[in-house]
Amino acid sequence: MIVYDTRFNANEWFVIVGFCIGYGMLFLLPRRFSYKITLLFIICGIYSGFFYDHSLSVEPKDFYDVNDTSLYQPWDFLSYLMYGPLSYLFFYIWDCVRFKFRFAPLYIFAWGLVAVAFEKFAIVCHVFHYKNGYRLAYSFPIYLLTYSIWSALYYYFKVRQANAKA
Amino acid sequence: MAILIGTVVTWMAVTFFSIIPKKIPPFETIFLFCVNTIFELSIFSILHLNLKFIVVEPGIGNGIADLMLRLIELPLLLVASSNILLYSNKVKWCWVALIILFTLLVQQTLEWMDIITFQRWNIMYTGIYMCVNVAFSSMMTWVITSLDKKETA
Repeated sequence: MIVYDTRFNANEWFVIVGFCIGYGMLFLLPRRFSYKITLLFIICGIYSGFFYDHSLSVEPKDFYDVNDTSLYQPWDFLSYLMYGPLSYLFFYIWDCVRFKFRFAPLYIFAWGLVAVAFEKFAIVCHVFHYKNGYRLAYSFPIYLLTYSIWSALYYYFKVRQANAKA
Repeated sequence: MAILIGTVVTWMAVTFFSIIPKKIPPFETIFLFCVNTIFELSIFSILHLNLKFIVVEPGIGNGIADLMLRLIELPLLLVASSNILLYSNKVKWCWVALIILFTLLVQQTLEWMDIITFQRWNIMYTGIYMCVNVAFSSMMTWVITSLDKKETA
């Protein structure tokens, strides 16, 4: 087990502030989707965080640790919940701006840059601790892949919505 | 060998899921798949990383096989069990029991093959763990379908 620190400091504050801003924003934004779809879009983000952190940060590769230790802690769980409002915002902005699907790669790229900046800030706050040669740049294609999958889900949602109206 | 077992078992789960009649619509299915993965993986991480009750033996093959089972096979079987529990026939409980027995058999095989090791853990606990997962999946099915009914009402 690796222990990075044992005090309540920057990483815990990052998670608390991120959590409060994210879910505060979620309640303040005007509703655009049904409760079911809202929940699905939030879960998408939490699931993606979980998926990558439990596939990249465990054996056989073990590229990074989250928060104070290499063990699974309540703060880790809270930090995964932080991704929920981010994914909701991804779908929300797309739905507000009504981008055409041919612009999806641009939108995904912009979100990829935002996500890398967010991750960089998380590293500065000691939320992530890279190991075994992992670098921030490697996360960029992972974000692009994740947002592409979310875009496919959004496309499917729009198609079903259009069919339901017809 | 570990990857082969993981792939075959995962593909069996994919096949089973694709052939059963679905009672849960697509968006609810995606939601269930995600929450089941989060719940199951959280408990497993505590058992594996923190408590060391279940240890995945070192090696790329073992790690990948375990990930395939945790990230694809188990969530898919849990979504399948939620679908089956919505059937109106009386044999649905037998099907769910069969799913749980299948996962127990897979766990036991993994232990026999030295892919995972049980420490202060046995197959009975895995059975209880699976029952908890099935109950959680059913609860989440109820939550997501109630949200829909509430909105249409």
